[in-house]
Amino acid sequence: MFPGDQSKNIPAIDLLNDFDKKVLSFQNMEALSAIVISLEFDESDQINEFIKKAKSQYGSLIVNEFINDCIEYYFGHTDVIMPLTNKNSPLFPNETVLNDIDFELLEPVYLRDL
Amino acid sequence: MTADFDYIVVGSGAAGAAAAWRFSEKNADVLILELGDYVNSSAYPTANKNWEQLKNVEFNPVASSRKGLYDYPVDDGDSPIAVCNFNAVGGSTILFSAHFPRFLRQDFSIKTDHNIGVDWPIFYDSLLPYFDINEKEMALSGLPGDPYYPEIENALPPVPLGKIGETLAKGFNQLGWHWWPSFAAISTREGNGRSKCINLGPCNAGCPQQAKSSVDQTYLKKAKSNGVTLISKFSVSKIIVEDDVAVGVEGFDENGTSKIFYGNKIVLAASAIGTPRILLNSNSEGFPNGLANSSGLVGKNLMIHPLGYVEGIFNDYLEADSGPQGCMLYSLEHHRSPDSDHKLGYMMHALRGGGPVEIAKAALGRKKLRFGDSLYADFKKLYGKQSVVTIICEDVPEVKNQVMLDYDSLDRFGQPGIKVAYQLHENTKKMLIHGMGNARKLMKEAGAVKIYAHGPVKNTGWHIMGTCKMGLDPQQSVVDVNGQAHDVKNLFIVDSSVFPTSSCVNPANTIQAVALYLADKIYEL
Repeated sequence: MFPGDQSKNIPAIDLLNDFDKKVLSFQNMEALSAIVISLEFDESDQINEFIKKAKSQYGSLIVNEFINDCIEYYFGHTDVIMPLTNKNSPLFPNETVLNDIDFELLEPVYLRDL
Repeated sequence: MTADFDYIVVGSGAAGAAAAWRFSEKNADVLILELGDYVNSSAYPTANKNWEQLKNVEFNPVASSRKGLYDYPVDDGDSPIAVCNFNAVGGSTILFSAHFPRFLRQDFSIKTDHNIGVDWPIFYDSLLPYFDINEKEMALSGLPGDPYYPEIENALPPVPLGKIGETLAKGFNQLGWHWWPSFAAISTREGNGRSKCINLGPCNAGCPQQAKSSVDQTYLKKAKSNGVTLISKFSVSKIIVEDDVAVGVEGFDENGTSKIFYGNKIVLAASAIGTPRILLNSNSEGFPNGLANSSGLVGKNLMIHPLGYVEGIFNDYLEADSGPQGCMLYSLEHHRSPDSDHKLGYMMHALRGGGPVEIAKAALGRKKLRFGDSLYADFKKLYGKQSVVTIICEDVPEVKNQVMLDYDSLDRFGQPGIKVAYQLHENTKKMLIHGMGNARKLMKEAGAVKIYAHGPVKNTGWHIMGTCKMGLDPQQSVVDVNGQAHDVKNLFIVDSSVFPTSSCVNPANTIQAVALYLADKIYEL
């Protein structure tokens, strides 16, 4: 699901340093494992098709909760955020500089007779 | 009974902190009682690695979801809008976005001008000096010169627009609509002991840089150096009244030990849900329907500012992930819409984009995020390229919209929580549709390639007002023009509970200006 992108130094989810520990805290892991086994998922399957199939056979709730946990973990992980967004993690205390306002943009507003 | 303090202020948020500081400037002996605890700025989400998760748990603004140790139960199941607040030293300003416009002059006379709602019993001009004081103390940034706010002459430099703001501004200009860089309670330059804003982004997760003017950084620091006593983790449950005069408050410390404090003047600033909760819970033989409630209006006339959400997605990366998320620009073009079929109007308030988790979830919810090799390209189609224009609707007071005590859901001291019953006014429904239509038009003009809209948005009930209305007639209001309860001498309210109407702009600046104004009136009595 989260394969990483080597060209941008974005790691795959299972390569994240705390993945083994974290994955155990995800909701419905046992049930999800059972689904994966029963639907006979293998690496060559298209993941998005597999998710659709799992939802239709076992209900959306259990699958969605798992996906939600994965997204929160993966897109919130420092090792992913930095190469993916060029933002620091944590955000503080790193400053981002934005250009000053181009005040000419305000001319039409200022000149209007309100 | 001997009074321990000249003033007991209940609540240390926007209003309570301002009023307490004002009393302390006059050398009064002041006690502030705060339900919540101090928050160390290093605990704020953006000072930590998993900030988006923290923001959704202990710093979740939705009272009914957060259920923290210092929260009382809030049941907002009977409302399309959830109550948002934060119980801590500094109150909800810890998590507010710091967007800091003033109410407009015409907001104080909507009954006379538009035959809807009510007029205020105090005037905009009376508040002007207090806006000036407040904006100085709260380190207002912004650009003087907005034709809608000719009175504002002093401010620190405005927060940057960034590329996303410039893009929207051009859209407004093409439509010939008003817009202006945000007024913000954000210190944009170092000085007066404050750090400058470093554009972290999500101000609504607390500001570890301490550039956002949450009142723990402003009024409370000064009040404490003036000798004000602040007791945190103290839950006020009742007002003590003797012979129709308020003489003290009763409540529980963090260990659940019941305590009483006596004061000459009791000043409530516990928010428009917390203040009526205390009054309704202070019922007695002499006040069977709750204290100060002979009008039956304590808890009634709740206003929440229903909000419409219009999101535009642009092709280019527009720095939407940087800069104060809730402060960029606003438009008052439609604060009155004479050609529409609704009365009054709305503010268009532009927001920057969300963090990576929020963006990924939004894309997934729209079926625009595919897992596997396409994941990163799908994510990049949204991240940093998104802006939101919210439609903040002027709400209208209605007696049926209210907060009530909820005896089925008690806090940890056995005191009742609150239940919220709220429905949108017919006028507001029309306004919301009108506003979302106009925001779509703006996004299109600005070049958005995809536009999503919905409203009212559930988790946006920050602007709670009106539940202890101020007025001249004791049968039609709870407090008088000095904030004093009609029924109980020496009992005052200075928070947004007293607002007769709601304007269409963020109320924090006006809440504090009113609190400062009332503090002076209370002092003079």
